[in-house]
Amino acid sequence: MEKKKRVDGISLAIVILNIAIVAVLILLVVLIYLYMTGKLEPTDVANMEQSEQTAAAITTTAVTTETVEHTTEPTEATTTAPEETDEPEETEETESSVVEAVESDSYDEEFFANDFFIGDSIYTGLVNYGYFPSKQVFAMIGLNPESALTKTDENGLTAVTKAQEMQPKRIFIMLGSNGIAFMGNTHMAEKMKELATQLKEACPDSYIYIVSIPPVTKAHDSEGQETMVMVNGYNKLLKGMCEEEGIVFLDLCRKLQDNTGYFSADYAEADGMHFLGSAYKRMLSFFQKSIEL
Amino acid sequence: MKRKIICAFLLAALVCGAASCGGNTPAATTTKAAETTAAPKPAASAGEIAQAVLEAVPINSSFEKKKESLEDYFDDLDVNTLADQSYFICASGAYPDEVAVFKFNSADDAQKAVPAIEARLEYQKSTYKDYTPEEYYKLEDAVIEQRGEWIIYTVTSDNTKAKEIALGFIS
Repeated sequence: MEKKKRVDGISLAIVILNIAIVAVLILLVVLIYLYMTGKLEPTDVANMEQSEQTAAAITTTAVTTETVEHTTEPTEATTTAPEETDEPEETEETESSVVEAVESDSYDEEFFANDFFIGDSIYTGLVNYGYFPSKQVFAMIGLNPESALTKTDENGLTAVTKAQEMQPKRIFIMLGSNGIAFMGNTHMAEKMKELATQLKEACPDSYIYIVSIPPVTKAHDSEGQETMVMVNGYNKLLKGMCEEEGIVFLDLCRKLQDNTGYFSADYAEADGMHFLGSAYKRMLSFFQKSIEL
Repeated sequence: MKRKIICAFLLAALVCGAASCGGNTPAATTTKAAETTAAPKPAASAGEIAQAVLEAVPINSSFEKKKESLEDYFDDLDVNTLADQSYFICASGAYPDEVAVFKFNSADDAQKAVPAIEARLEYQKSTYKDYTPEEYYKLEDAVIEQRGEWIIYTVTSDNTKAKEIALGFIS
């Protein structure tokens, strides 16, 4: 009798326990399935933030390919902005810089189709990033207003003779960053005037624009080699020369500064002087808008 | 008797569930391992090699140049002899860093292209020597390595590492 009781007398607790175990297993299987198929949304906020941070880190270090869309894309920019400003973690400063960038970083590639650019290593980025073909750019690492008068490219052309061959609609000149540390602002401004004069003679139908040299970051400034005092001093002199000579002066420097007056981290390369890819869009947008006004 | 049947069913379900849960991972791993060993690894492309190098030795503002742009950087390079290529530069112009992985149609074509790569390196040396002397070390031990139809060219902060990674794919 006792034996029979032990076999048939499985307590209700054991049955419930078994059901519970099976239920848990089924639930686990279902959850795993949902997770694997992507139907299960992550709810852990901390995890989400971590993912965003990782994504941001990847974005900053990601390599780019030469398929950059450097034409105007206002639609994309406009739709991106509200999403970014909706982020609760974003500070007001970030929000405003995003809006500013969206408003100001669009340009029309066609607008510059027959234009010519003269500059130093910063302008080599115009070709490197694929904004313009090399035939539209005379740019060399270390070029300054004086050496721009004589240095030749791989085809034996100077800035002036290359411009003369092209006969562009507009010529943009941005030079001086390489000389402010040692050449003397007055000397450089005189050489810029000389360069502009030669270009006027070589390309009588071209519009000539002289561009202020860009700012430097606070970190670069503190190193003492090139400082904002030097940058501002040279740009002021350059502006005065342009006014005297009737040349249009485009104050790009102002457009690349943050609210402290230094080169904005949004546009500055790690060395604090050169441009990130975003700075070229900013520059071209500024050029176009200034000219169209 | 009913209880016996229910109990047996539940136990069977439990055992099956546990067995299937426990068995899933090893089974998948086995399949994966089998795939890894069974499927022969395809030869890496120039782009994959360059990416692997850049992951280990990153370049600031790195930007990949297309085949049609190569002549802007490598005078006298016959791009028509290239079967595959990947060329990354520091697009901002701030640093001399660059990584090129070229695969030519033949070893002979690769051999003929070496002077064009050497000329590029010499140009970079002459440019950066005075411009950013602190970056010159990258050029001093730059790598130009030809292996069969391949040429590896690196100017990075760690050229030894870059070379090791790139040649690891080729050999």
